[in-house]
Amino acid sequence: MLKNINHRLSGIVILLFFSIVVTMKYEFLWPVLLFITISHLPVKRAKK
Amino acid sequence: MNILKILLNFARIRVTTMLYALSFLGAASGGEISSRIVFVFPLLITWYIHATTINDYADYEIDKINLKQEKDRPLLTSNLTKVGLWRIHILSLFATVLLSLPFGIKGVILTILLLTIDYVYSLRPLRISDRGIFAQYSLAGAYVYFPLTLGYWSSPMANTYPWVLSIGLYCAFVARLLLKDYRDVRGDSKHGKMTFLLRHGTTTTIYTSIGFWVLSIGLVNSSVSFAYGVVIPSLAGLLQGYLFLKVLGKTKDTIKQQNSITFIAKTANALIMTLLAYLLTRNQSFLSGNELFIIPLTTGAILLSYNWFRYTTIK
Repeated sequence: MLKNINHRLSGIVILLFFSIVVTMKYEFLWPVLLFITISHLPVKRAKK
Repeated sequence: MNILKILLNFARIRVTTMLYALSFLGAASGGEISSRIVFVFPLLITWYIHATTINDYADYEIDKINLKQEKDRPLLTSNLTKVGLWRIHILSLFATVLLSLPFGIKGVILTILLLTIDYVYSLRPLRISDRGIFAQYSLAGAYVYFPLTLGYWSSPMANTYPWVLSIGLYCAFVARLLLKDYRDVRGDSKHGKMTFLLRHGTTTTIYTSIGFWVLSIGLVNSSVSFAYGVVIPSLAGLLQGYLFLKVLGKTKDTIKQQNSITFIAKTANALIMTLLAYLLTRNQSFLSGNELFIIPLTTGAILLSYNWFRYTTIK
């Protein structure tokens, strides 16, 4: 469980970093932020 | 299962999102991301639904063995009849052609070509999916050139078409798609579907994949004049991918195999984001050379490090 928390926390930190980068000066990087955000969305596992 | 869920299953949203990222590469290569990029995503979705419906229909007996545990294959889970599948397929055909209209006559022609490839890939007499590496060659062509070109056409097209970049991306997708058959070995061999993996074995498959990765890295970096901000993450990504491929080659455990393949795909996605960051930065004339180096380098370093961290926590 600790591994999961670390993994989610680091994912959130990365998203925050890119969000700050985009909003402070580099707004043209918004597509990178978009796709990184999408890739961090939780996946509903369909397998049994 | 309601109809929206069924459509989302066929659309394989994670794959189509990755294809949409390629269209952003095309647009950035063309000089600018314009509002016309929004027309690309729905077109990719309907095209993919068209492709997966015909492929799920054609591979039904094989998928019953390979994918019997999966809950997101409507035909296998009996949430959809074959008649229902064909209705969705035909509707997606018309929707795809309609959605290609904003790209003009050349967009319609390209789209019809892709729709034709969907049939040639999955159905007899040609059924390219049975024909070894030609399956990877044709799929990679569809996966790369369709979104990349649509993205480029959505831009002002201030630069020439990124041919070298497109061939580099094509090689990367051939490398990725050589690994897709690991999951399906049992059903494919039972039904005589002679994939590259079954024809040549795991060692040859992995080394061929590595070969295409190396070629891809060379071509993609050549297309950006070997900018250090792209070269450094590319080499790091190549090393990371190589390590995952080594694990894949050594294990017969199907779960470990699928994990390795998943992380190889994530490595490739990290490099796509690095390249996108570089192209977007390059289009901004007010930025310095240092920023053109730091921005893609930082993007690649963060995403590749995160990828490695995730891999080590699930091992």
